Amino acid sequence: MKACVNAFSVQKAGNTEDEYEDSFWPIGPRDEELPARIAAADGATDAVYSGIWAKLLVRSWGKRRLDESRFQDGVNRDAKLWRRIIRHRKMPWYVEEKARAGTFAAFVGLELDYSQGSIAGTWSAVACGDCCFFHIRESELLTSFPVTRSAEFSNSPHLLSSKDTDSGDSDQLSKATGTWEEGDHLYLMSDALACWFLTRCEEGFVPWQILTEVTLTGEPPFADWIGELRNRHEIKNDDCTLVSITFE
Amino acid sequence: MAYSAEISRGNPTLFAFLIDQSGSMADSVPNQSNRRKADALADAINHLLQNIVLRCAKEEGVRDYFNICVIGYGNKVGPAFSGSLSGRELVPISDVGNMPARIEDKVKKSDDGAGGILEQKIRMPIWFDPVADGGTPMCNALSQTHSIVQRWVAQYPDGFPPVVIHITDGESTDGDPRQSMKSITDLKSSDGNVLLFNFHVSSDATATPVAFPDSGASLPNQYAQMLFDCASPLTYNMRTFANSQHGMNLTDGARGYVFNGDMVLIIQALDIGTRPSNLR
Repeated sequence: MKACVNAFSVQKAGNTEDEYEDSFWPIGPRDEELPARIAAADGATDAVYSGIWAKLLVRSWGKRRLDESRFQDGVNRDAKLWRRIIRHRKMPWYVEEKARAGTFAAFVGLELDYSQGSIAGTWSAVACGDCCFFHIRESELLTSFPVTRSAEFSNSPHLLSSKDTDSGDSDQLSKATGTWEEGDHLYLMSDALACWFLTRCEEGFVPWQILTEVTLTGEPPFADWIGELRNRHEIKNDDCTLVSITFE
Repeated sequence: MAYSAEISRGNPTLFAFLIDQSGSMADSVPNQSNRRKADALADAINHLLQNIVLRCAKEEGVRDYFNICVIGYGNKVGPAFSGSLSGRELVPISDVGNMPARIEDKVKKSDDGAGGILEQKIRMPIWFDPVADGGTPMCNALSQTHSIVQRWVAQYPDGFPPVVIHITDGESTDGDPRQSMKSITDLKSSDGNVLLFNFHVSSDATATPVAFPDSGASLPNQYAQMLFDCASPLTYNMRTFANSQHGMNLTDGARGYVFNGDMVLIIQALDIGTRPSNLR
């Protein structure tokens, strides 16, 4: 059994591609042997080098250097690495001051497992902030994690910090577990898309239909589709990331 | 909903500062005989500008989400930036960030979490030095500000409305400024009316500091009352931010009036992207 993972992304309208600060793992379409680790993160706008921070976190999750049981230890290691990466860069006063406050990102990590010979398995997820995991079976949204209502999204969520290395963010870490079956669709999303998704659910629509078209057929292309949602003011103008997972 | 227009490099908004540099600003602030109101004002505006730059700062530079205008009034009325920005009326925030008059090295003391004090060297940009000279031509300064803000909303008719931050001790010498303030707050974009916040620096040692009250009933004098009456109500987002992030308890009627206090949350509350709740 494999997990087929596809990631789609587009930067905030008006920004350049270089200014995209979300991140995801694995990079590129992949058929992942199970057990597999998948993640998405969203670097905070109001922080410097937050795109690097988001990349470090998803990579560590994917490579099992960031683990649910000793999560804060892994975050601390990444925080050290982040400081080492930026340490020798020449910074004007405002970058130096912001870097001193640390950097921030929302994060959701998913681990998928199964028993040999089975067509079902287990998932476990961890999250800090407003990157989300959704689990859909046939016409039902089984899991919305860690955010369950669109009204819960705000511009000031608690995020994973490179700074809180002593106090730890473990209290702010949400955890969930469940089981998946062949035919299920799992998605990781950064906040703008997740908020759109939950809003459509609350309005009685089934937004995973269009997600299936976008992710499995490529029509409409992800960036075009997000552009249409922005033009119709259905989605906040922000970096958008979608990671789609199916099983075969 | 009003005050929801996106603030971005393509749709910037304007911060207009109006600063009182009159002779009365040479009086001391309460309980600090060696600190003048002009010193408090210079600290306040340097602090506010620093915070605006920091909100827009990314590793590649400062993003131009805002333009800044600073009008000083006292011996003369006009653009009040010092240093290489001197004489400029409208300045993109990236230029403000990159061209302070000077940067001072200071020591910041903070709790080290283990019962001790942590000392860190920080770099403090300075755009303004204290000035206290001449009369208080507040109406003239408000009129100049009105012209600048009017041109801005004509250029960005659908943008987030300009924010005018007025720092004064309230004692105008060229007439009653109420009508001038009203004509500024009557200006609007399709996203809402221009916001006017009055930051009142006072020598009154008997009065307690006040931030964003919903009534002027307990304010200490007629200047305070006037500045409260003319200040804009805080926007929904600003009230929500103040209550959730600063532990305040502001009501729907809260106005943009501060008496001997801090106004930096106004800047923190503007939405230019995700601001972590654990960012301190």
